[in-house]
Amino acid sequence: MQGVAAVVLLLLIALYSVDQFLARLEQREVGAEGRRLYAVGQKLLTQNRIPGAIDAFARAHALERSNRSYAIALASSQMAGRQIEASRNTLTEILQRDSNYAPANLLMARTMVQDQRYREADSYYHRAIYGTWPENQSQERLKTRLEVADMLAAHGGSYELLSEALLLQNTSGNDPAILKHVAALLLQAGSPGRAALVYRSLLRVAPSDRDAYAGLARAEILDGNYGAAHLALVKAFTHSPNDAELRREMDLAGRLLSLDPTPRHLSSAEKLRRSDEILTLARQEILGCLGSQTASPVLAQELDDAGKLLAEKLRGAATNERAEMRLSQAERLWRARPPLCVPAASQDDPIALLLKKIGQ
Amino acid sequence: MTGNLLSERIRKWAARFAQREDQVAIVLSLVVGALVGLVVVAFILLTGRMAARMYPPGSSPWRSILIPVFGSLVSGYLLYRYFPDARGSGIPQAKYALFLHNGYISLKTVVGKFLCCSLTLASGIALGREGPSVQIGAGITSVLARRFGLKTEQVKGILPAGCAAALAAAFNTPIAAVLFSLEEILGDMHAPVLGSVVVSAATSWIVLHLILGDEPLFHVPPYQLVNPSEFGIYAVLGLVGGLGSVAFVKILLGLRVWFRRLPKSTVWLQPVAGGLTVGLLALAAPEVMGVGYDFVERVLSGGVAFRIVALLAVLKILATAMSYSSGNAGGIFGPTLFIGAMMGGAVGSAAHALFPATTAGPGAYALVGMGAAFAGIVRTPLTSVIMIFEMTRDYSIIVPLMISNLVSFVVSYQLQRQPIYEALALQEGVYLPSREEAHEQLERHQVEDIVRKDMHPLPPTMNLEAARRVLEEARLNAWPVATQGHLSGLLTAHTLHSRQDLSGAVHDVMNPAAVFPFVHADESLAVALERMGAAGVDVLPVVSRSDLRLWLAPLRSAMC
Repeated sequence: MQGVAAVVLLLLIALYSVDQFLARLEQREVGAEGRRLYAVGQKLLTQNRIPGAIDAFARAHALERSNRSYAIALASSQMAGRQIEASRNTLTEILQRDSNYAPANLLMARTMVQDQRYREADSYYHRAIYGTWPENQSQERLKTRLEVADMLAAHGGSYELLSEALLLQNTSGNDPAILKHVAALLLQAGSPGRAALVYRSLLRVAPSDRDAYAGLARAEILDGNYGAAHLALVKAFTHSPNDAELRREMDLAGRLLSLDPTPRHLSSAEKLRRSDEILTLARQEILGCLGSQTASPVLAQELDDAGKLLAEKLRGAATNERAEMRLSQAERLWRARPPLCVPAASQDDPIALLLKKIGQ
Repeated sequence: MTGNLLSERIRKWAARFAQREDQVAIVLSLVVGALVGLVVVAFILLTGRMAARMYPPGSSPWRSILIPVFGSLVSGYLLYRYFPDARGSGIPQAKYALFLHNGYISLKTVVGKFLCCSLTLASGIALGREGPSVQIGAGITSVLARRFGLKTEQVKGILPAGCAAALAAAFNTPIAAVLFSLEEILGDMHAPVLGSVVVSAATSWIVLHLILGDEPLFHVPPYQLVNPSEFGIYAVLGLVGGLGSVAFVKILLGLRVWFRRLPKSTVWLQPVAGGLTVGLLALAAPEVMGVGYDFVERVLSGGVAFRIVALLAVLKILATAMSYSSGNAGGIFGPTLFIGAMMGGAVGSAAHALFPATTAGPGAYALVGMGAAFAGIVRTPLTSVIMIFEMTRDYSIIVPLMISNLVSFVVSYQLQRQPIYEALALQEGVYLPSREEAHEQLERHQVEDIVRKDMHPLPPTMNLEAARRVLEEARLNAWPVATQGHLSGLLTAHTLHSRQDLSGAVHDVMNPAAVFPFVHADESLAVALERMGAAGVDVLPVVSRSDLRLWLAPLRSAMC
């Protein structure tokens, strides 16, 4: 019995050695085959042969499940081939092994965006931002934050966008391209003051940057600083004299300057004249928008009141009180606009911009 | 001096230990688990590496014909010339060893099974590795137990532990391996060997993980039930799975009958028919080759078109039935899962195309389809549920799986009464105990408990008149006829009464081809009485399980 036990023990050791040898051999051969298939997949991807690339990556992934590069390549190619569900399955497998793996979270966020599941996408984007990147961690995090901010700019709320833009402002360093992107996001998030600060910081480094001047002008317009906007546009114009877009912005800034009733140096008569013009323009814009449609009773009342105010001759004392009455009426009228007329008042509409400033 | 003392102590301890059967069984189960686990892992790895060399990346299509033909030719010759007991799946053979041969499997058979199956499976024959692993595991256990000097009953008792260890390593599902050993191999879920079976399966699984890591056999996406109405579709899947299972079993058994009718001199060449079939089918669909688990995984992930999975289900049924029935060494466990996954994928694709908003993707159905096919073909519904559950580790799959399995089981049972392994054994002339019988044997007396071996059969040369007198004196309506242990049949009083002339001999009235009622020594008295009642006789011949013509003793109703 002892002899048999000894033989069994030797057999166990020998078999273990054989198994280890075979396992290493398999690992080596499977690894080589996986690398070959991955290279084939990459090549097919560059040739835009997506189905072939998916097949090659899928086979590489099946050979080496633990290799995340293969899995990520497979998921990316599946997304490129519009196989969203399959891509999500591949990513789920990676995330089940390591929920902190940032590239998988980023791709998962993109699949969610494709399915218009923005809230879940936001969650995966943040897991990607705070997760582990295999290399270039800080750069990848910054790029991901820019991506999530762009997603929020397109589909999210301005509060979330502002928070992302502020974080980006703090982490983006001095890269002008990223700073311009951040400033644009701040504008979109409704924070033109902060955007103006970013543009100014850019202009300190590059005083002849046309885009920075244009951005600054837009920020100043939205912030109600039409004089500053005009000045920035004049400077931008000196660098790009034939720029049609700058010309348009400059006309807008000029128009806003000529209509703005808020500067301190204005006489009462001028303020009354500007207020009257603002009310006239607001009324005309709404009537033009309504066309033949019937106004709601509230709007009809406001239009009627505005008409009565405008019918008064600008005789007698041009008091601030009279100017304020017109401005208040213009604001009420603007608020009573039907939904139909809201999109018409864009960020290039001087009345909309002025009434927003006055309302603040 | 100290060495001698130590050696003496070890000897004494070993002697004391050897007297405690339960402890011996547990320790031996550990050794069996480790050894079988290592051998099965070597089997899997060796097969994989050989296959990689036979089919290098980018190899020509001609290989898919030549290599299976060559592989089946070489293994066919080896099986014919050196290892005849290594033919086939391995699961019926493990049962033969348990029920017919007192737990005996030779080392030569183990070696033969390992070599021939490695060659067969690597060459792409459409068979599985689990069945052979079970026979290898049982064989190693048998050899080891005999070498350790265990008694026959102990060897038989430890054999299921080897089967479970092999399956745990081959399929990476230790709980399902334990259940399969009890449900299929032993046919008894309450067997007293449960402890040994669990220990060896767990040990083997640990060995597998030690060497190959923590990778499951299939990587499946998380399962989800999209809408309760899907339960209806899972029932339809069970129906399709049941019908597919019956088709597979009937084709396989039919082809096997045909091959068995061919001249014995062609036995060594017959496996080539399987190799050639697989090769030709592989030209159209290379996925039919080998076990096909890689492709199963792709189907489980979804995204394989309906027509591809439907076609592969049919082709795999043909390829496996032909490969197996022609006499190649390999199992049907793996192909069953492949066929099930394809059928499930097809049903899932169709359902998803018809009701995209209320059904999960085809992958979920492929997963359940694997269980349905297993329940329909192997008829171990509990094992199949646990096996799929173990693979997915997802509780939510249980209910759809149970619905599908139950429907498949009932449909296949209605259309094909015998499970595949029992049917294969019957074709070999072996009558294995069914699960119901095995259960009854535990609770009731067995025939061998009361049978009297001093009662003799009638010789065929006996005069008919003398035979009539024997029956009359004994007040019996039938009596077995046998000579030199070979049973000719049952002579009934009815036969004698129907003849006016009783001058001839007994063999004159016996029809050698006639089917007569019988009973086995290890069957319950309830079964014996039932058969007597059905045949309308007072006596049944007690015969061997391995040879229905081998006379053992008579059993009289009065004895019961």
